[in-house]
Amino acid sequence: MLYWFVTNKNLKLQNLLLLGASYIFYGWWDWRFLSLIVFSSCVDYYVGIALSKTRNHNNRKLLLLTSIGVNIGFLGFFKYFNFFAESFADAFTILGNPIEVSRLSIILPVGISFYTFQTLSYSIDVYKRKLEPTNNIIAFFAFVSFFPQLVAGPIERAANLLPQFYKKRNFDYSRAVDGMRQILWGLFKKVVIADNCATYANQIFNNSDEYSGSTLVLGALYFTFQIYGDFSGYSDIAIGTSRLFGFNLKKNFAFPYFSRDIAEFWRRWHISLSTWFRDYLYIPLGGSRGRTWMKIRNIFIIFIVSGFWHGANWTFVIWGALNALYFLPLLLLKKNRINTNTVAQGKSLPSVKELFQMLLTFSITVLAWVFFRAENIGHAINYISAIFSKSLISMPGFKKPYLAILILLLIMIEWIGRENEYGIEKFGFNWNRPLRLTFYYSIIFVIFYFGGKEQQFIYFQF
Amino acid sequence: MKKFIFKVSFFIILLIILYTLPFQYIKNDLSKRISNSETLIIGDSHTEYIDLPNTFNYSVPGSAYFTQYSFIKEFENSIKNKKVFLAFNYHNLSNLYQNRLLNDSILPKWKEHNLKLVNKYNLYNKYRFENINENINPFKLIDFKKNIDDFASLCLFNKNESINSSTSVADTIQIKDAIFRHWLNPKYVVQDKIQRDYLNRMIMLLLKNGNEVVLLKMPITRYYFNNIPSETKKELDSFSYTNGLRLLDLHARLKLQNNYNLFKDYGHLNIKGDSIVVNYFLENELSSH
Repeated sequence: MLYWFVTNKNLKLQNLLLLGASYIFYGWWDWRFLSLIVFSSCVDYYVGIALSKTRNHNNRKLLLLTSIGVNIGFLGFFKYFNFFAESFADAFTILGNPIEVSRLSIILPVGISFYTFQTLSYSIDVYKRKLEPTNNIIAFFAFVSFFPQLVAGPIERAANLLPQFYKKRNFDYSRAVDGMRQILWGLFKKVVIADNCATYANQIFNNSDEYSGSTLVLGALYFTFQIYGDFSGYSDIAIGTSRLFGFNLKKNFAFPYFSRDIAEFWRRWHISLSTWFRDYLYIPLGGSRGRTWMKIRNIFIIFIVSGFWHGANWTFVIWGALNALYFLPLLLLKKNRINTNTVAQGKSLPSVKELFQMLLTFSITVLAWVFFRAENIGHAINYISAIFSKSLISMPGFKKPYLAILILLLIMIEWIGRENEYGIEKFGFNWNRPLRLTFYYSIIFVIFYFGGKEQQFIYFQF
Repeated sequence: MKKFIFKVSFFIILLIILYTLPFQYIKNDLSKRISNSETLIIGDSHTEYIDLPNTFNYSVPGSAYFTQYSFIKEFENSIKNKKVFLAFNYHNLSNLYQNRLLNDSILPKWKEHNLKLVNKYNLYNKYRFENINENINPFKLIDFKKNIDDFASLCLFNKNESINSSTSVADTIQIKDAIFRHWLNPKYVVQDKIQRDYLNRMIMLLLKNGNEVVLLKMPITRYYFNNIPSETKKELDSFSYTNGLRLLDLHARLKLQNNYNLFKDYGHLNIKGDSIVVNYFLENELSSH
């Protein structure tokens, strides 16, 4: 109401309101960490201005390094300090010279990986002269801290989001309705699918020694849907909320579990992060050009760094490396861009070949998620070994028919809507109004009734 | 913008109406049924199957007095000038209730079930207990899932019928289990005060509204009776006297304790045992019969 009715005539005031709301939102969790986001914003804002004023190559490089140093420095300290200290100590222990390292009791500031990358993209784009630096401090600070996507993305590029803070925003009825619809679908994915799957995935992963191979497969499947529902659900809520404020954020998920190969999967999963790494790491490294060993090196670097971005644990590194291994044959055989369209476009069902490809891609993805979810590498290896044991051919525990039905409902709706921005964007558009209303009320009912036990968003920890 | 606000408001209002109206309708219907009944039975599994004419039976298996109190409080306006039979059996004075509230592992989900019953007839969580601390009774203003379940159970309540089984108690092992559960469980670390507190509150509330309160003691098997702590027996027997209430002691009057074929277990009557109790009520307690 304040946004559209009180501040709508003054863009500066409207941006200020967004900035205030974003800081309150972030400070609600821990106000002390607001200083980090303010400091990062200040550094990048003034680096941007300084970059526009100098043509000296060395000075420009120094300015960029300052921005990278400050941002990565914060990220490294808060997220990776203990990991490196412990890994260092472990390495000495393995070499026979155990050493003591002191662990710092650091809390990871929520969303630091997201806003750090967002603000870094600004400095890099300004340095590369792809973007004009802004001198609108309120717009810039609001861009860095924009609350719908602040804590878990999508990681927005300055080139897309920042200009939206300069222009007067008009309320668009259909966009707002669309935003509400996307929020509803995001809530379904988070509250119904992810939170319910989390209950059983946690039980199975936390006590994996006690379960049969078939139950462990089920646990991995529960986690597969948990992480998708959790993260894509959050993205839908963030994009939908932004739409209510007249902003367009980039799509972050494009039905990744319907991918026919791993390259397609990575074009559809966490798109904002994949494209960030592609543009700011993979391409500067040479991308898919150069000799074969360069290609292999680049692929491993990008996937391992991407894994490491998720958390300070070797499991994420292995998860990244495993995906690189999946990806490599496609790249070397130049088949990484054969599935760029949507599967079974214009058809109701996939062909047998497509179905097989999807199932294969899904299966290897599930296997990789075991590393992502496991406590440590030993846990992941034991988990996978236990899957491929005799007990694989047995009735699994934790069979939850109601959850299976809800997951099938998700798959069905997302399959129907796979050519759209999100699952229910155009679902039932040719139905009459009461029927469509019944459909939306049914989703609300399912959210309230089948909503699982409250679980924190997985990606908040990243 | 105005169109959007109007439509969103309409959507939400319709949702609220769809959510509250059927619930209120069924609740009012239930309230009418209570008002139209001459007699009320408030109890647990021991009184569950006493099906009498002109009588509203609110007996929920495993329920503690605090849940029964919340029912009486919620329908206070309908429970006036009636004859109310309040189940009052030895196990009601054991320490199991408060200890189950403190330690969920004693009977998992019992606590959750009973705390949900407290606000079963409300769309928001209206009642809280002063003597149940925050850990035991975490506050949640609206629990939609519970409300939807309650709504479904209210619909079933109107249809009302489940039939008692005809099985008989198999052996004393079953009875020993109950004795352990009620009196000997080492996990019971506190003496139950909540149960007694809410029994008193219930009685005061019922008397305040002009009801005749009759404490109803149901038959139990001899084996179980012999293993009840003597202080509990004394407490139960003296309670009605000290509070000036009538005690309908069906255990003493019907003398069924040696007829094990009338019991499903230590003290729950089967269909045959129930019919004896029902006949007794019809012949002796209901004014219109």
